[in-house]
Amino acid sequence: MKLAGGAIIFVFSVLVGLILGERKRNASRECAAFLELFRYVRGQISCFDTPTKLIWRNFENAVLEKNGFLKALADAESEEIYFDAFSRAFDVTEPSLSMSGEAENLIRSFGGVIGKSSSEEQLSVIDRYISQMSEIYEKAKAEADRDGKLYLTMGFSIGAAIFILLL
Amino acid sequence: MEQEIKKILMYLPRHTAEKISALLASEPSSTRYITEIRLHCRRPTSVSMGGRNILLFSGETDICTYEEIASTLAKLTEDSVHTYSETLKEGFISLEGGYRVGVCGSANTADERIKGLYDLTSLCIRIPRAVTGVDGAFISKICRQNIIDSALIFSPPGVGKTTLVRAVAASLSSGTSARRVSVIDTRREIYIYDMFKNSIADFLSGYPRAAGIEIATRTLAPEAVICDEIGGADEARAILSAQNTGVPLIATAHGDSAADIARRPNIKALLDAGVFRYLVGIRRGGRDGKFEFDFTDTRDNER
Repeated sequence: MKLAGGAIIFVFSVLVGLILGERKRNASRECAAFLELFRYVRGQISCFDTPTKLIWRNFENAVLEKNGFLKALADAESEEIYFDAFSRAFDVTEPSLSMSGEAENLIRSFGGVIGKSSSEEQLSVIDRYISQMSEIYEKAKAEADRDGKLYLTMGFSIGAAIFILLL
Repeated sequence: MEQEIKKILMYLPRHTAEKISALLASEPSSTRYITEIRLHCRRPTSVSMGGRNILLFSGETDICTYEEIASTLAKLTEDSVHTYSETLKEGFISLEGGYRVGVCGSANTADERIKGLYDLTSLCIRIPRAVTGVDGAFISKICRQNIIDSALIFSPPGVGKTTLVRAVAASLSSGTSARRVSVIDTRREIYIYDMFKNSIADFLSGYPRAAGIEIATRTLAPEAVICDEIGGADEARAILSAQNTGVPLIATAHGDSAADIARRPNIKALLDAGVFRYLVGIRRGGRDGKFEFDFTDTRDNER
């Protein structure tokens, strides 16, 4: 009985460690996805002055598909006036995101500038966002690597300690 | 309320849209057509209607903030102001349905050229009017049997040259005796789907006038070319070159009188070369604001 209980607690503890580590890795993947989106937007505007609606339609990314962000952007097309689609799509998706507050604030303010000014002005603004998002992504990646191992180790250690104590 | 105005009110700040609706409700139906809406940053909003400029006021003057002007422009462009960067440098954007928005602000310049625009201060939204049946007298005069005569339509701004030329293009290119008409729609103001859905006209949208005239005459075998607001040297050269093909041209120009436009060097060159058979002055007359035409046959002068 004690053995079974100890084993369950050990497994649970390791799982918690894995989940916390996975959350950090998700945060890093989300940052990478939005950074890819920022770069894609920059390319579309600098090369083609692509209308904003078409930029979203032609962008593909597994992470943003999975968390529903791209779907929320597509849903905005059916509205009577197409305006601020990015910000509203982000509001819909935000509860399911794992990113830091700093990353979310940056992405939200990106939504406030996209499509609102001439191409020259937008490109210089987007370059700043890409630079800031790159820093946030590097930080998130480093944290994911470091904390992922840490959480797993802690989960394993605590689980093993409780298992041994129960024995 | 006419469809074109109803559509644009959705994009305006709510307080402005409400005041315009209230104004329209209080006006008699004969004058209830707005040709322009002007939003000014921190200054009164106005509409042009029935030949008057009316400041919006119902208890207090309607005033827009900078953010409202910027967001109106963003909504009108569907969050794609950058797509219109080139025309913004020329001070306007053209939207689907024939709407033209004049955009004013602070210009960022280099070498006397406008690089960009910032700090928007006003938007002038020109409302297109899909009007049919106004071109009857004009077409009767310039179309004789199978021949279309070239004509230059002139008037001061705001009288309705574009409205008329749109109706002419639609009439000539529709129906049982539809002609192959090429329309050089440089500012994308002429085409309105409802007027041309049964038409065989070819639209060169956004083409510079000179290039559009050359391309149309060389590649589209038109029976008439229609062009709005000519006057530049390049346009005059292209028109003179196209004259060799014998394709009639119906064009418009700003001017108060035939004598006034004939004084302009580029237009004078076209008149001297006999490009236009008729100079057609237009004005709105009578209580119903219908077009009235003054035809000047340039061949009468030659005799």
